[in-house]
Amino acid sequence: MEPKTKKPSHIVVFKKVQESNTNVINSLSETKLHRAQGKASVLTAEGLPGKSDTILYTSLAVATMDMSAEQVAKVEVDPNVKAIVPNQIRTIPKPVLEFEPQEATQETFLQGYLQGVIDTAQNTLKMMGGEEGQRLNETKIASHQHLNNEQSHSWCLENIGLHEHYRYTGRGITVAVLDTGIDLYHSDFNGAFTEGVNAESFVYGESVQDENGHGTHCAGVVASSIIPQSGKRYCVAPDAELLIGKVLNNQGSGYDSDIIDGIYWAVDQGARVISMSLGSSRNPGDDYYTAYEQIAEVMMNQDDGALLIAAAGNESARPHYTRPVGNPAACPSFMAVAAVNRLNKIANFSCRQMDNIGEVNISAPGKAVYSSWPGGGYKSISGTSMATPHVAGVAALYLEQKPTMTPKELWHIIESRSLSLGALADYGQGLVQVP
Amino acid sequence: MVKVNVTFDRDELRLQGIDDDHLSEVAESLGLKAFNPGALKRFKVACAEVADEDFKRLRNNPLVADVSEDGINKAI
Repeated sequence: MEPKTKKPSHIVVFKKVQESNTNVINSLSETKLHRAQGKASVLTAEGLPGKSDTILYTSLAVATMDMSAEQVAKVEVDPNVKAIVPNQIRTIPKPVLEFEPQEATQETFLQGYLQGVIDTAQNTLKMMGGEEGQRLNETKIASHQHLNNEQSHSWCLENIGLHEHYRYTGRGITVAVLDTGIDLYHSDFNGAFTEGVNAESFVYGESVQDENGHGTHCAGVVASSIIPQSGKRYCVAPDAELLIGKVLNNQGSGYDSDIIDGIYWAVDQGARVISMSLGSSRNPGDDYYTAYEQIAEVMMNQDDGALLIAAAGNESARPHYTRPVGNPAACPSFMAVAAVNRLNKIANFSCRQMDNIGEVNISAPGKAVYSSWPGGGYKSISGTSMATPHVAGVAALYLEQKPTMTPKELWHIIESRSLSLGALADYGQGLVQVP
Repeated sequence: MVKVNVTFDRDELRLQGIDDDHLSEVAESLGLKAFNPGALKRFKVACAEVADEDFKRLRNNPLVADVSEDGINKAI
C-alpha cells in the first residue's frame, strides 16, 4: 500500500521577500505557481496525484512542498535560501486545563441551601443539647450522601455507577498507563512501584519519576489507595496491578517510537488494558497512523491480548468549533474516549468524529477530575486524558468479573453496557458504566 | 539519517512466506536495523534510522505498508 502524502514534506525558508523566490520553487515543481484565489500573498501549484500542493507565502518568504532528497540538496545551496526543514511539527493539542469552578446546578444549589438550614438548626439545638441535635446531625450526613457523595467519592466515580461498597476492585488484572511517569513517593500508591520492575522509563535521560503531573493524575484514576490520604476516593480499580511506562518526557511530549516501545513492554509484562492519554491532532480527512493501528489490531485479535484505549483529543472549543479525533485514538482498533462533565454533557474541548475514520467509541468523566498529583497532593484538571483512565479502570473491573474475556469481547461489553447520552459522533456509545 | 517507524504488510509477508523468525533478516536486507526486535516480531513494526533517500525506496517496497517519520505526541 502506497501511503498517501497529504502534508508537504519540507518547509523552505528564504532569506528575504523577493520575486526570485518564485523562480526557485518553480524550478522544483512539476506544475507552476499561480496566484491563489482571494489571497494576495499566496502562490500555489497543484501537486501531482499522491503529492501535496506547493504553497509559497510570498510575504513571509516561506514555501511548503514535497521535496525529494535530490531537490533538497539542490536548493540548499541556493544563495536565496536560508534553510530547508522537514515538516514534522504536529499541532500541539490544547494543554490540560486547570481546575474550573464547579458548575452551579440545581443539585449543588439545593445541597448548599439544605446544609445552611441544617447548620443553623443544629447550632441552635447544640446549645440546647439532647437527642434532637444528634438526630439532626444524622440527617445531615444522610443528606450529604444522597445529594453528593463527594465527601467519600469523586463525582466521576458516582457518574460511572461506582458507589460505596462496590464489589469489584480490578484484582488480578494488569493495566498499563503510558504517560509522563508517576510520583513514586505519593502515599496513595503505597510505594507500589519500583523502577525497572513495574515502572519503566522509555524517555532518554529521564527517570520514571513524574516531574509533570499528568501521568500521576491519570494513574491515580485507574488504581490508587481505596482510602486515600485526602479521604475522597477517586480511583476506579484500587486492586488492579498497575504498570507505569514513561513514554512522555517531563514537558509532556514523546516520540512514537518510545510509545511503541512502551506498548511492547506493557504487553510483554502481561497488561490486558493499556491507557494512553496522549496523541497528536489530525485534520479532517487525514489518515490514521498505520503503525499504531497494526499494533492495536494485533492485540485485538489475540485472545490474551490487550485493549488499547486512547484519549480522543482536546482541540474543540464548543460551541464555536469542533475538531476531529486525533491519533492514535483515530485508529479503528483503539477505543477512543470523549470527555463529559458532571452533568454528563460533552466537555467543550472534546474532539468528535468528523470524517470516515476517527470514531468516538465511549465517553467518561473528564472535566474537573480530582486525582493524585506529584508532591503527595491532589489536583482537579480537565481533558480527554482524564476520561481515558476511567475507561481503563472500568475495563479492569469487567476483566475481574470474567478474566477469560478477549479484547474484542471486552470492547463489546464496555460499549453495550454504557449509558446512551446523545450523538454518536460526540459521545460514542455513551457514558462508561461499571459492571 | 531520519528516525522512522516502518509498518510491514502482514498479508504480503504471509504471501511471500516470511515468518517471524526471518523478519529481522528481511528488515536488515532493506537497510533497517530495528531498535526493538521484539516489537518487530510481535507487531511487524520496526523503529529504525534510515537515510533520507531510502524513504521512497522503502515506500515502494511491497512488503512495507507504511513508513512514517518518528512523530511527536503530547499529553492531552
